[in-house]
Amino acid sequence: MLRVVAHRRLWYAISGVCIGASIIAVGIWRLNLGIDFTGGTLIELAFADARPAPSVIRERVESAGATRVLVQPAGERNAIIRTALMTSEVRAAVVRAFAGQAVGQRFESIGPTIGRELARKTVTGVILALVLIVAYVGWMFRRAGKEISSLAYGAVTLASMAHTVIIPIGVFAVLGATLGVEIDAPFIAALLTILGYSINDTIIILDRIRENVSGNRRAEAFADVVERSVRQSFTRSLNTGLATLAALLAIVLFGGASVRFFALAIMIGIAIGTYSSIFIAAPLLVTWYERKHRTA
Amino acid sequence: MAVFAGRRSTWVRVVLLTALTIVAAAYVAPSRWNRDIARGPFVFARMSERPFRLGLDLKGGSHLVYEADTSKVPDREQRTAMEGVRDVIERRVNALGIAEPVVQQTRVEGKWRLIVELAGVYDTQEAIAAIGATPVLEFKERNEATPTLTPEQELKLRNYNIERELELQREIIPRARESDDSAFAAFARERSEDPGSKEQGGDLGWFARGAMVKEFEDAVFRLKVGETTRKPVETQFGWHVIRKTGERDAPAATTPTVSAVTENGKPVDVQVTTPIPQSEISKEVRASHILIRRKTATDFLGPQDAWTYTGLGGKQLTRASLQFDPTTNEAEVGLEFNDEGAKLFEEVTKRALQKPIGIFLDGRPPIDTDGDGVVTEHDPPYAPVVQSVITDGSARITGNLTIETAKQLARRLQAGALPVPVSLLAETTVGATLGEESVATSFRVAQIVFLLIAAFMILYYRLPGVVATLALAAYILFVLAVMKMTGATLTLAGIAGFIMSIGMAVDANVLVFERFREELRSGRSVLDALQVSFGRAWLAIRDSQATTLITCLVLASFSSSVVKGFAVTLAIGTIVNLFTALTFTRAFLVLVGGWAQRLAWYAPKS
Repeated sequence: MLRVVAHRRLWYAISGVCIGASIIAVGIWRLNLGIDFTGGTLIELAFADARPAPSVIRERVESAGATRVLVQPAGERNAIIRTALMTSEVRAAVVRAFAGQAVGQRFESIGPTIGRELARKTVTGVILALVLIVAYVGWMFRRAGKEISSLAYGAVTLASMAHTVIIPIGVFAVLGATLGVEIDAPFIAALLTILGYSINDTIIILDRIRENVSGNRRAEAFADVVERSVRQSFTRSLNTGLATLAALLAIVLFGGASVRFFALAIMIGIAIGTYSSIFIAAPLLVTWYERKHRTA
Repeated sequence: MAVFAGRRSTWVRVVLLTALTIVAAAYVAPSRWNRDIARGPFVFARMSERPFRLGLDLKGGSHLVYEADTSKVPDREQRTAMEGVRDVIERRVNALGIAEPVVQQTRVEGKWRLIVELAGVYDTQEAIAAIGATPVLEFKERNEATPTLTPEQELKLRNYNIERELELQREIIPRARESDDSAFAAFARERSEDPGSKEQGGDLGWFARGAMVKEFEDAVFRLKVGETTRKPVETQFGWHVIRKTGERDAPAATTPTVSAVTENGKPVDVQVTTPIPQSEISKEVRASHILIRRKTATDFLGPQDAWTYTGLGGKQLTRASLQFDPTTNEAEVGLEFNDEGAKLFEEVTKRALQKPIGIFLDGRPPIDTDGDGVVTEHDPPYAPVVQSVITDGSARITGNLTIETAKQLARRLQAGALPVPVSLLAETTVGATLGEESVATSFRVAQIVFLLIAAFMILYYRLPGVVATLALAAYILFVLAVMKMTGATLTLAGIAGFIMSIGMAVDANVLVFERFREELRSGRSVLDALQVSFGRAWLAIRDSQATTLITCLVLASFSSSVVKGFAVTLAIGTIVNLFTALTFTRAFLVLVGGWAQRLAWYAPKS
């Protein structure tokens, strides 16, 4: 079987590259923020017959008085139109422009105030979730033993979470630049969900390490205890991860357009969360331990 | 642990949990249940068919978010003011015939928001217009102050009028007198400033004594037929050049009728004071005229408001209601003002005793006053006359009101009392077909997910996998039952959260089963291994569920309904999962564990 702890430098390198690439991707392409953040209007039209080409739709929406128009085909006969915040007159003109040909299925109009609020809430939400969870881990692992402090468990959890947050954002920066996928309110929900899932995953491995450390009567080396713990929880992590991924894959493949990228974000996050709890969190604990004991 | 003491207690648990699951199933799908029990041999209680509360994204409708500008309201009165706004908006939406609107107020970062949910409404323009309009209710009194001009303006005004008079004498009158009837008519069309007669070539038609202002009338009756005035005839409107075009005996009725000359369509009262010669009473004359208006201070300064705002408005009106006079039983509208309003109203009624007070809603009368069925800016003002000084802030509008009118008036006055202005921040409208498709898709996805996970669990974990699949089915029913019971709103994001929680729900089982295999391999018996593995896996299960709940708590604080819906179902799923994993899976595994002792039922040989 794969030796997780022994090859930890390799895993660190892989993670470093992924995180670096994500940060660079965000730097190059920026985030393609949706109207949930920037404010604006979204109209989904359902065409009775064949859907005109996006450029045709775009032209007509623009001539109705809308600005910053983006048209995306959705499903077989639907089109999603995103524009700058439109007045009710422009909205009526757009509806008139497609009268008899298409009916409005969805209309969203979000003022800039709400957008700014979501941006603020996202930042405070992520920070709050991180603080609460690290505090919870610190408290639950407070009797983790003399070998390693509960602080280390908290720090390792944080590192694992950083993966889970940064890499999906990087992937969505790429998706935004290539497919026009937007970062919207559901994406934030996805981000916070995978944060919770990833922590959950990490904690289960750390839990096993704690159990094995306190029950260690054979004076096993710390690295070996961690390796054994990772192996014991390896199947569980993989199986749970696969079961959840299967559920999400079904949503991505068969779910509607509005939840597709939401489910995709969670899929990416869960894959990374599973990886980081096995290959990053547990080895990091060993690195922390060895550094501390070398200097001591 | 004492839990595993006896077979009997395990049986009791299994029976109880099965019964609970069946009840949950009946509660979740009552119509199916009621149909099936009707066919079966046993008599069971029927389930009431309570539906799920579907979000607007599933059943279709509009979701509007408003922000209220409460900057002018003191802090401690803001809540009351917002409740007032909510009530007013609810009434306005109700008046549009929209069923069961949901109007909620929330406070976000110190600002008040209103969330309006209109199920089944797709064209929101009308609703938005009704809600967003901030009809301003104002009580006004007649403006009696005459506009004042600066000396400079007065000079200009006088010069203008002198010039016009000179023009009349030098150009207009000579030309009018030279013209024949058709040329006069053309001239009137060209120069007359009387909008009422201009297009008729100045023709005013037949009229008798008393129909026109006195100066005009006198001049016409003095003229011979076909003759034109030599000098301009001055009236309150300006200067007239009059040509008499006919004279005849009046038809039957000879009583002078007090009527009005129409100027801009507004009636002007005429007082008949001088005695009229009998010979003239029976006569009717016909005349054409060219009017040159004299400018007044009002013209010069632009139109002055006929009504001035008293400071009394919707803010001080606490209630307007339909009531009936106890003695005459006539419909009337009762008004109640707050303390500030009562004081103001007392002053106003003192000043305007026996005079009208105009009631304006957005500058228009609150009800139709010209009888054409609609309220426009052309409707004359609605202005009840003050009968007495009112000191207690409680007034009545009485007299000739039908019940319908009184009801309408009361409702509009009440609805006009929007305490603070609101502005639309965000709007979401989802069509009904899109919602139906979403429900169908979600249902299909949930089925696929369930089958995938069941297949995986049974193939990988064997007998425990079967138990876990049953537990998962019970889990799904319990979550749906809890959602229905708590009245949590089911949204698309919520269903996504639920589907994901199905995936996560197996985690507790996987944790236990993995541990169970380890213990079996280390040589324990099946029941022994079960006992140990449930005990040891508990900490990991607790911690993982707790962290998920923490995330849900943070998510629930978001105002976005998408995020909130996801958080609520995920939280319900997590809590229910804790219950099913620890009771259902455990009881059933212990039960079958007693029968099936062969290890091959549990794990492949390693």
